[in-house]
Amino acid sequence: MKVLEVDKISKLYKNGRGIKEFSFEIEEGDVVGLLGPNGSGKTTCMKIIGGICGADSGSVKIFGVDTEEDRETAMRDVGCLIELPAIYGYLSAKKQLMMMAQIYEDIDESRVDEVLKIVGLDMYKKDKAGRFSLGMKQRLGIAMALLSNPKLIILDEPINGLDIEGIVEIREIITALSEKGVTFLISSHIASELEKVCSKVAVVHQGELLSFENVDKALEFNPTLEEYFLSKIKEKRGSIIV
Amino acid sequence: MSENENSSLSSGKNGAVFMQKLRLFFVLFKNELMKLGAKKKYIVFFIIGTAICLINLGFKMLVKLISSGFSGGIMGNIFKTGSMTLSMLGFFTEIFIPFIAFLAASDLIGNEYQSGSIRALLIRPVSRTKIYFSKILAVFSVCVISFLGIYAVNLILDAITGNLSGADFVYSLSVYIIDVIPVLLTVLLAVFINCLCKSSGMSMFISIVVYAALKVGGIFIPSLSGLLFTGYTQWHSLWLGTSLPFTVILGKLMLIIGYATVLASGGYYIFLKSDF
Repeated sequence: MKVLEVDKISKLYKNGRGIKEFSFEIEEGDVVGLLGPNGSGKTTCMKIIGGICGADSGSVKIFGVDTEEDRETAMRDVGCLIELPAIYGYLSAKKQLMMMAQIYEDIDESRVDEVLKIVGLDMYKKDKAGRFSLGMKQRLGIAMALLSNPKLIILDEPINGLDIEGIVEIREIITALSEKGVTFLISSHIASELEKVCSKVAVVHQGELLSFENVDKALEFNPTLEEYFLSKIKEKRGSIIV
Repeated sequence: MSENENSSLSSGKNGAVFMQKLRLFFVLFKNELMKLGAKKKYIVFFIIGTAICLINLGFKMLVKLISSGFSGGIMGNIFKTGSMTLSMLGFFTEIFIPFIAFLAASDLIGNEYQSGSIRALLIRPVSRTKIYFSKILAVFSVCVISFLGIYAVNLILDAITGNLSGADFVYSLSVYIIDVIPVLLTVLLAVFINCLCKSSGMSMFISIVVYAALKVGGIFIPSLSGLLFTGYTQWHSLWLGTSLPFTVILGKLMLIIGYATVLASGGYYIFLKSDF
C-alpha cells in the first residue's frame, strides 16, 4: 500500500534555494531516510509534505488523498516534527499535548501520559516547555509527533540536540514502531544514523533528488551510506569537492 | 435501496461530516482561548481597567465634593455622581478594548508566526481556514469578555453609589451590547496586520499606529469620519436615542460589513498563502 506519493514537487525561494521536481513513493512499513547536507532541500520537502509551506508545482498524496484537496483527511494519520519543535513555551508539556489531543476524537489523557513516558518527559510534564533544554524540547516535539498513533511519521533531524542516551532512545522508538508497521520519513545529514534505522534512502543535494534506493542495495557496492552518498555526489558533479 | 433511502443516507453522512467539522472548529477555538488564558497579562489588564474605573469614580466624587463647597462631607458626595457605565464607555471602546484586541492578535498570530509554534497546528489534520477563523473568534471573545467584565465592574460601582435604576440598567446594557459589534472590525484589522507583518512586536506597533492614524484622521478631516470604521466605535449612537432614517443606518451597516469583508478576506488570503 502506498502511504506517501510525492509527484514532481518544486519550490523555489527568493534566495534561489529550494527543491526541483522531487518525486518518490513510500510503501507501508518503509523507513525512508532523506540524506543530504544542510540547505540541500530536505526540510523544504518535508515542509511541503507536512503542509507548512506550499509547493510551486507538483502534488502530494498521503494514503491516496491529495493534501491540497482534502488536508484534514490526508493528515489524519500523520505525525510530524519538522525543523524546530513547534511548542508553546508558556504552557506545560502536558498541557500542550492535551491541547493537541483534543483535535483527535480518540486520543485521551492516558495516551498523553504514555507518549510523555516514551520520550522520557513524564518527570517534567508540569514544567513549562519554555524552560526546557534543547534536547528536552526535541523530545517534546517527538512526543507531539507520536501523540495521535500515526501511521506515517515525518521526522526532520530528530536527533538534533539530543545526548547519546537520547539518540539511542529515539532510534529504539523508530525501530519498535516500524516493526509494528508504522512508516517513517526521516531526514538527516548524518549518514551513519540513517544507516542504522532506514530501509530506503534518498540522496538530496542542492535541491535535487539524486537517488532513491533500498539501503541494502545502496550498500551492495558501498561499505557505508556515507560512501554511497559521496558516490552519488561524485556521479552528479564529477568530483566531491567543489 | 430506494432513491429516498439513498438520499437520506447521504444527507445523514453530510450531517455527520458537518458536525465533525464544527467540533474541530470549537476545539481549536477553545485551545486558542486557553492559550490566551494562560497568559497573566490579560488579568493584569483587567485589573488596570478596574483601577481606571475606581480612579474615575474618585475623581467624580472629588469634583462633586469641591463643587458642593464640601457641604455634606465625603459620605454625602459619594452618591449620585452620575452613571459610571456610560461615562467610561468612550475610554473603553476607543482605547482600552482596541488595545486588548491588538495584544491578543499579536499573541495568537504574530507571536506564533515568529516563534514557529503555529506549526504545531498546521501539521495537524485541520484546515488553515479553521485555524484562521478560530483565532479571530478567540481574539474577539477576549475583547467581549473584557468589555463585559468592565461593564460589570462599572455596574457594581453604579449600584454602590446609587446611580443605577432599572431603566439605566437596560439602557447601559443595550449600549454595551451594540458597541461590542464594531470591536470585531478592530479585531479584523489587528489580525490582518499580524498576518502581514508575521512578527508580534512589529504587528503591535503598526496596529497602534494605523488605528491612531485612522482615529486622528477622522477627527481632523470630518468628511472622512463617516467613512472610517474607527468612527463607529460608539455605534450605539446610531441606534439609541436618535431618529436617523433607516436608509442612513443601512448605509452605515453596509459600510461596516464591507470593511469586515475586506479585512477578513485580506488576512485570510495572506494566511492561506503563507509559508511557515
